[in-house]
Amino acid sequence: MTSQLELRGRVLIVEDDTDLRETLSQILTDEGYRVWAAEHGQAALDCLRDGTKPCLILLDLTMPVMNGWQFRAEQRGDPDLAAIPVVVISAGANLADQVVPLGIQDYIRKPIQLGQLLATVGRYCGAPDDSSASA
Amino acid sequence: MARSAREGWSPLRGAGALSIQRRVAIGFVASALLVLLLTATSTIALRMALATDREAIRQAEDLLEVGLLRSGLERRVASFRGYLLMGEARFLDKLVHSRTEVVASLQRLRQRVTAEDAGLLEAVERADRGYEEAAAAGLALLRGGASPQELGRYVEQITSPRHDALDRALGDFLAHKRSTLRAAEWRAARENLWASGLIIASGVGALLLLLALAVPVSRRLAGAYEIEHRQRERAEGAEREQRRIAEVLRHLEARKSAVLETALEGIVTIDEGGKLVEFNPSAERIFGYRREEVLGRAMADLLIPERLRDAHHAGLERHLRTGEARVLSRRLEMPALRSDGTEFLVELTITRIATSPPFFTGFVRDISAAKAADRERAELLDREQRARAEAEAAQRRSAFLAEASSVLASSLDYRATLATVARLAVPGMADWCVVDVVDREGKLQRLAAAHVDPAKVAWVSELRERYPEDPKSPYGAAEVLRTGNAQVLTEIPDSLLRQSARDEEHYRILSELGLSSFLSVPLEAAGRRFGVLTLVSAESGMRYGPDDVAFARRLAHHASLAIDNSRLYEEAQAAVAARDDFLSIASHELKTPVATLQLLVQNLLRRFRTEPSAVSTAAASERLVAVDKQVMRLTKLINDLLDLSRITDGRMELDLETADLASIVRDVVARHEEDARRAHCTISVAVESPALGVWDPMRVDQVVENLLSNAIKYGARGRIEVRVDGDERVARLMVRDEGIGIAAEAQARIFQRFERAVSASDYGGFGLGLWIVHQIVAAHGGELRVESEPGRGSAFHVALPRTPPEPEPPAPEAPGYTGRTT
Repeated sequence: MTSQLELRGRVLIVEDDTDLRETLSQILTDEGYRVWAAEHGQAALDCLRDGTKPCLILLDLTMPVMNGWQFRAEQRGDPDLAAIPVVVISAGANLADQVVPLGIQDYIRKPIQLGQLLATVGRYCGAPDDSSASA
Repeated sequence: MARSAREGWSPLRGAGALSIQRRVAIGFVASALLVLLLTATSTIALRMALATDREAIRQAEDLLEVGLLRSGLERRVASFRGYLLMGEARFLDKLVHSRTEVVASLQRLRQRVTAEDAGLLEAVERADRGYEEAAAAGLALLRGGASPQELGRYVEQITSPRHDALDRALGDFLAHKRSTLRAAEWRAARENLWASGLIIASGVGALLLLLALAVPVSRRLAGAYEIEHRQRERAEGAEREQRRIAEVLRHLEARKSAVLETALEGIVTIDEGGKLVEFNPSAERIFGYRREEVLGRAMADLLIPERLRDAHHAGLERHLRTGEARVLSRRLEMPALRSDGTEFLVELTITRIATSPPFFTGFVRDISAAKAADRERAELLDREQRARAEAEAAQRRSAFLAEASSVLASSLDYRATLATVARLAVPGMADWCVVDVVDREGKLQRLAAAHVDPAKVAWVSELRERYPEDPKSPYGAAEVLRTGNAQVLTEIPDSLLRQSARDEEHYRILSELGLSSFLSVPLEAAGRRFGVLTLVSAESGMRYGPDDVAFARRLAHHASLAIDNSRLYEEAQAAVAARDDFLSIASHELKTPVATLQLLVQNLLRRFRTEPSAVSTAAASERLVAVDKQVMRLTKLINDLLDLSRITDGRMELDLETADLASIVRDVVARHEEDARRAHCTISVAVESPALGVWDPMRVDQVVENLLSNAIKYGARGRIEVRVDGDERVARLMVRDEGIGIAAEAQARIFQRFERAVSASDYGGFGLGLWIVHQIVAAHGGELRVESEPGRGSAFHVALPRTPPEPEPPAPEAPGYTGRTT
């Protein structure tokens, strides 16, 4: 496992709903990605500023403490973090319009199609680390 | 006047009359004396003349008598001779008759003769007697029968001589008589002459004397006469004049009494002593006294109210002393007294009658009725003017209100409507207008302000912020809101500013505002007071009165309706927005477990499809448990939605049975231990067991579930305390967290639908939880309240009566959303 691979396989999930966050973690972990999970924007920022640089941030918008919009503003304001790609996962209507001001191209609409999730994550982070895949 | 004229006139006449009378008397006496003198003189003269004349006449008569005697003698001689010589009897008769005549004549002569004549007469008588004797002898001869010769011879010889002797004696007598007659005649003539001379002389003298007297006397008399004439004329003139004057006076008096009798004005005259001397019928009518009973009495005591009497006396006294006339010949109005003691208003003119001493006549009119009429007329006029002004104002206001109502109707925006209301009132109705509206927390918020000077609008609001409404102030919006009564201050006295000002600076600002009037009316709609409209007048100096209150109330009514419409519209909009929000939240809330479920199921399927052997039973079981959990989550969400629908429709039904709150709480806590652990919360439970009551256990479970899940959700990893206790009547549940807490202003609305204290973008959930809790608790006749402090956590207290409440419990909060127990 090269550090490149490790780097490419690292996904940060920011989602307040415990069940969904854990399910997403489980699935992506199952797919061989290294997954960090944060329950709100502030926790995610803390995690990122601790030095974790994921290949993708899966971001929920509706969260306590620091919501997705606030997190995105912080992230874009931080040169170290600004380049990290973000994909929004949300149940909101007009998601296409909502993400534009956030400078985000991709989004995954809830409910989440597993194929779309894996394809999207794969697009940013490449193939999952086979070694990490396990039953 | 008449009297003085008479007095002036009479002394003049008296003086003239005396002088004239004296002069006339003197003249008369003088004349009488003269006449007397003249008469005396004439009488003496005449008497003297008459005496001599009478002597002469006596002599003449004597002579005549002697003549008669002689003729008688002659006839006797002849008769004798005839008788003797012829013897005829006829001669005898003649002889007797003549002899009687002679005797009578002699008799008369004897009586008449004076002493000096007596001798002569005696001679005659002797001769006569001689003759008689001779005659008698002769007769005797005859009777003796003597022859005619003898008789003749007898006659020749005896009787004839005797006759001759008689004739001679008689002749002597006669001659003597003649001479004495002549002497008497001469004397008489002389005497007459003398008497005539004397009479003439005395007459002439008297005449002269009279002339001498008459000239000056008459001259004097003429003067006197003239004077008297003139005086008389003058007197007559004066008398005429006086008669004329008297006539005029009578006329005047008649006119005066006619005037007095018929004058509509009361005419009251007093003398200088203030005593009544004249009191006409009108005065009687006005004052209620009869003329007879007041004349001679002090006017002031009868007709002037006591409090004015001193002034009257002083005024009269001053006038008499100095002539200063303050009340004369001017129209006065003053109170007067009637006989029954009532006071009334009279119109009065006082005239001084310039006699000496003066009189004062007052012309009095009872104007109490006129005054009343005047007042009434003035009032009518005033009322009419006021009515007109009011009508105009009303018209202006109704036009204003019509405009207001159309302007107000033109917007459904709540704030815009409030601003319109404020703007409408300025400057027509006020210099400032502010609208304060009760916010959700029951506090007054200034939502609109307008000022004649737009630059001051912000300042008005700023002032309000610097010096917020004192809720306890008896003036202002808070009081109006509390009582629902309009407040109007027609004037704002300085004392009130001083009283209202918070400090010296505030007072200075308030003073500088130059507030003149103030009017506050409540805004009410649908039986709810939701705000206060305040009009303030400053620069314009407008003063608010009752009409303005009515007007402001109508404006407030229009505004209230408009505001209420806006509010309803906004509420409707908010409801739509809330529904939209809710739908969006609901879909989000539903989608999250669905997303989880979907991922779990698709992942499981993918595993089974790609590598079924690699899927361990344990792993599959674990995932299916996760799936089951998501299904339960969804079920709960759907149940919440159903509850929403049921409660909103009033269809929440309770299945009442005896339940134990303690065990319900323990169950719920057990269910959430995993969640709490994952949320890094610790739950401590203090339960008095059992806590029995007649409740719907499923609903009570829901209450505990919702409160606890909220505590975990918002508890921010803190400690959660759940406690159950109570008394015989009520069971109590408390759920306390140490989380973010709820702001005071949010505490009232968290029990409403779709509400949460925090943004939906931060916390998920329908926002129905507390509302459902509230409805369930209310349906059980219980109470739900919250104690919270932001950042320190919240504590929810539920009190559930152990026995069901009476049917139809009091409406908990929002009418229409009330749960119904069956």
